[in-house]
Amino acid sequence: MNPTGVLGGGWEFVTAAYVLSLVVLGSYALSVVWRFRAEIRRAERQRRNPEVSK
Amino acid sequence: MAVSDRLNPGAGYALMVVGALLLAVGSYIGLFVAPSESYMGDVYRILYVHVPTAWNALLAFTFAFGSAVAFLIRGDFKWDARHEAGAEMGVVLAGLLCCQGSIWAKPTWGVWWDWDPRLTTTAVMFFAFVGILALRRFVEDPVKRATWSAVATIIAYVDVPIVYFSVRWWNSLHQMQSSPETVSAPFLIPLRTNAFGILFLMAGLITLRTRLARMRLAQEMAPPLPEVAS
Amino acid sequence: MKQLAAALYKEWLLQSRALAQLLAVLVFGATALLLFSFAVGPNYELLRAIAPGFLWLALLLSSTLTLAESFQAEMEHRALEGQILLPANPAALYYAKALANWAQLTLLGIALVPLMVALYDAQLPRPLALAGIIALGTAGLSAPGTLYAAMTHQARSRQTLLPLLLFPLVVPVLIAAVKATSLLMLGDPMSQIGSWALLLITFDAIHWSLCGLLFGRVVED
Repeated sequence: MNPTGVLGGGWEFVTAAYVLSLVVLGSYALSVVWRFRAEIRRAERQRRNPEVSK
Repeated sequence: MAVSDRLNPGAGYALMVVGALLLAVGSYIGLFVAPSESYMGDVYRILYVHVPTAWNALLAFTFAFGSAVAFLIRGDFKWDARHEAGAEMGVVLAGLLCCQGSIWAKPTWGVWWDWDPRLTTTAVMFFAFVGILALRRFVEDPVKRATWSAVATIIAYVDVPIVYFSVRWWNSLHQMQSSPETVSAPFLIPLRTNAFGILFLMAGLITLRTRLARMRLAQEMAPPLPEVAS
Repeated sequence: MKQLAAALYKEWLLQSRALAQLLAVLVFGATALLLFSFAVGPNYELLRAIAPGFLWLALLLSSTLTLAESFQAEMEHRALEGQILLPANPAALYYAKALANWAQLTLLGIALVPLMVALYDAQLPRPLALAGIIALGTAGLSAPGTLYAAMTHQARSRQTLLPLLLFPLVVPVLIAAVKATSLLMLGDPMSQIGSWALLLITFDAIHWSLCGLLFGRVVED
């Protein structure tokens, strides 16, 4: 720590925190949207072919 | 159980977009417009994303808890779907929170983890809810899955204040440190903007995730289709 | 109340027949204590300071065996469903099991103390108070543990699921019990042990009532 008592620099930590947050939230959002749309596709397929049980 | 068409996914997407925009604006202000802080220099800017994540993580877990209680009382599976969505969102935010807290701790206190009561409680909650999600994955009967995970969430949530106080008493014997929230941010605008940003993003994600869970439940609990004569 | 007595008698019968299992858990706990000491080596200062932590870790790990085993008999003979079909109060069932688990864990804890004294050169100025803390701590492990054992004994991957659910929950028990044990063994100049014991009592009170209430929902069909 800086002897004058003020923390100098540290931008690499700030960048790391923001990038991490972006990556985590972004990936989770993509995951939810992708799974949601996959489920809609599956439900559509099932509606069109009612004799298929899966 | 018919999947409700009132749960419009468009609303979910819209919430997410608004949330993302607010986050972008808030982060920009927090990173480039807000001035340096008197003692922390520029490292304090982490707070602009750390504190909003903390508020929303707790909110997500509280939503999961409320849904669990509602399910046990009402028996309506839409609450089980919301419970699942809230728990998953909470796990993501809590995990992120612990990483952010670690990134904050290194330049401020020189260690990657300092047993701060709030952060330690978050870590415990993270593991507790990961366990609950694992429980959901390993129980195949939807009724049992919904009931048991609801019971587990209630117990885990009730435990949170006890965990917090026990860690705080335990830690206070060793060190007194300023926690992230006692450092005052020169601007509160980026803090509030980001808080609403994550809130809207979370609301949108939970809406979509709930819809996903309901569709899966409908599939699981649908009566078997009649055989077609070949 | 009569149902509780009947359920307890059943537990007592099960325990007598499972004496071998009890001894196995004791050996497991003792082995754990021994292995932990290898992490530190023959550094007596450190061993004495860390003995309370190791004792409670050994108890925590052993509890997963005890708890998982407690529903094994029911599972093998599908007796749990039989009991639910009878007009028996599920809470009586829960408390009987939780009390039986508590008794077993307390005995285990007390049995491990002499080994701890030997391996870690621990002091025992207040043995009765230590027994009390062991009882309070194991009560905190037993209450939620019995509930989760009921949930997981039928699930796939039950060996991993029970500790995964239980361990985060009992963090306050671990913190308070280790702290209290440490104060009892190494000295308590500021008389803090009362507040740690109070924390344990609070945790126990909350969980023994809450888990008893919720047990009915876990075993209903």
